[in-house]
Amino acid sequence: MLVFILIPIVLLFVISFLEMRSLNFASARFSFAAFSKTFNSVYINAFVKSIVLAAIATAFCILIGYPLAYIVSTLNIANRFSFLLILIMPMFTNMLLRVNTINKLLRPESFLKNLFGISLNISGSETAVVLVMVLMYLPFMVFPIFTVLEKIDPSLLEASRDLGANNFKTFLKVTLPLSLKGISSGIIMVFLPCATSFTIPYIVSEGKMKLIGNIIEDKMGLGNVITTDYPVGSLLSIIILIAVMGSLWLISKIDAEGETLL
Amino acid sequence: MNNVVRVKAPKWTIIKRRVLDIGKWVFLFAVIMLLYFPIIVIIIQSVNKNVQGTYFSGFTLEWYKRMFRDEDLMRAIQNTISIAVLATLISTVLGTIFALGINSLNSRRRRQMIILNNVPVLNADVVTGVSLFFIFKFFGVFVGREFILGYETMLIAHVFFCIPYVVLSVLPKLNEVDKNLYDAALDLGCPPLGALMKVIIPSIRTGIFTGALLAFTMSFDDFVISYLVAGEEVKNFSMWIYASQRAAGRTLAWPKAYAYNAIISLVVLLILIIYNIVLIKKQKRERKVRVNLS
Repeated sequence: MLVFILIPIVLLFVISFLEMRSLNFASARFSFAAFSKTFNSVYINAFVKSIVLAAIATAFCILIGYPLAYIVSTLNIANRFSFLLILIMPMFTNMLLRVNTINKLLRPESFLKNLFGISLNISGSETAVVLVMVLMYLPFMVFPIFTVLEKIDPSLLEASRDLGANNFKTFLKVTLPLSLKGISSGIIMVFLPCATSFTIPYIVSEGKMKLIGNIIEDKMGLGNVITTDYPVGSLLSIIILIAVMGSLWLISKIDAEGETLL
Repeated sequence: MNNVVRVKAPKWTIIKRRVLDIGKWVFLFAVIMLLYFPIIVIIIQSVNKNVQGTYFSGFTLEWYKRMFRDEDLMRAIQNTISIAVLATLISTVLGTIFALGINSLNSRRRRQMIILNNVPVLNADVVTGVSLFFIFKFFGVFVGREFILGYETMLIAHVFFCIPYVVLSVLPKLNEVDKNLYDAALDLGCPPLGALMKVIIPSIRTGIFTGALLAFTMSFDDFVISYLVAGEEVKNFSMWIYASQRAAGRTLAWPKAYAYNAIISLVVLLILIIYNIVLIKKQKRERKVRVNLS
């Protein structure tokens, strides 16, 4: 495990200080070229845009996911677990295919229009990217919140009611603070993949929109060969890694056993 | 306070509760519809004669036939399934061993190991992929194989990102196991390995099973990491789709992909239904036993 976790970080760090064409250490030399290339307006704009879009998507995920998790956790049916399975099932359908299908529905000439007469016509826009992100990552918000809501001792809620608080106040003063742990896990689980996703913006905008994930993809020589630039790719990865480290620290504070990460 | 309100306007409270109840179900239904709509569309499109999928112009099973005839696609599907199965088996075994190891540490070391374990879970897929890409490339340079990326590297990468999920689902179960049980087994003359297999493993069985299920789901649906570490030759199903997305004009590719996915969805649905029936039967049996006992 250590080999795969710590060495790559060191490796990324070293590579970002080098200047090289391909992966050839003989021709590589020390330079700050990657830094000056990375901190230009194009990449910074891409960063800002990724963060903004991911933040909006995360906010919507909370707005839909919290009530959903809350309702499911209060349901009086014997098998709440099977309800969660219903949420997991869409994940067995390939994500790229789902993104593509949703995107096709958003086009002006779509299945929706010919079937129901609804033409959404937002394909390729930022709205469409956010919509697709919400649909893809909503379950990742629901699960951690559900996990913590399940664990809340019902006698606490009873106590609150006995002490004179109404339902709303009980929710605000007891349930919500106790579920903050799940919300923060959920935010991390949704925000990070949304901000770094390159498939969703690529498919939805047909390659026109460049978020930070798309830029890394190009730099790693996958999009096409001309744009390959490993040092810039690793530097961008390191910047993301710093954000990841921050969230790791946060998780280790609020949830040391990692219970809400599943 | 509550009681006063209830006495004053009982009808109003009942109506309010009704409305809330209905609203609750409408909301649940709406969200589920939203999540399932693309899948329903995929299933409809898989039997649609119209290639573009903008109209429904008739029922056909042509795409299913073509799917099985498309060698490229079939190879991608084979890779996806074989890697998912192998990665699940390997990572379940390794993850369980890791969890046992972490569980035996003192609390400080345990915290550190859990943080380390969480890195791949929280890390952005792109960053994991990029790091693994460099590791494999440098290993390739080291052993003198320039084109090291392929099936093996993809399998190693999948095992790597599946292990943490197994560890995370086994650890809580291990926490619940009574430590005295293991000692009791040792006292009764069981060798350590035997005690492990006969006492510990059966009691963390559900955790192992959940972990394996998670690992399989993750591996089966992975795109980003595979894309970065599999090189140009080997493809899984996601990579095949992405390649179709990139190559303009490959409209014929989509219905075949829909057909494949429709099959997968139906298989998963079938498994879920069977699982639920088994579960309900088991609960009924347990209830009967409890009634008989009392």
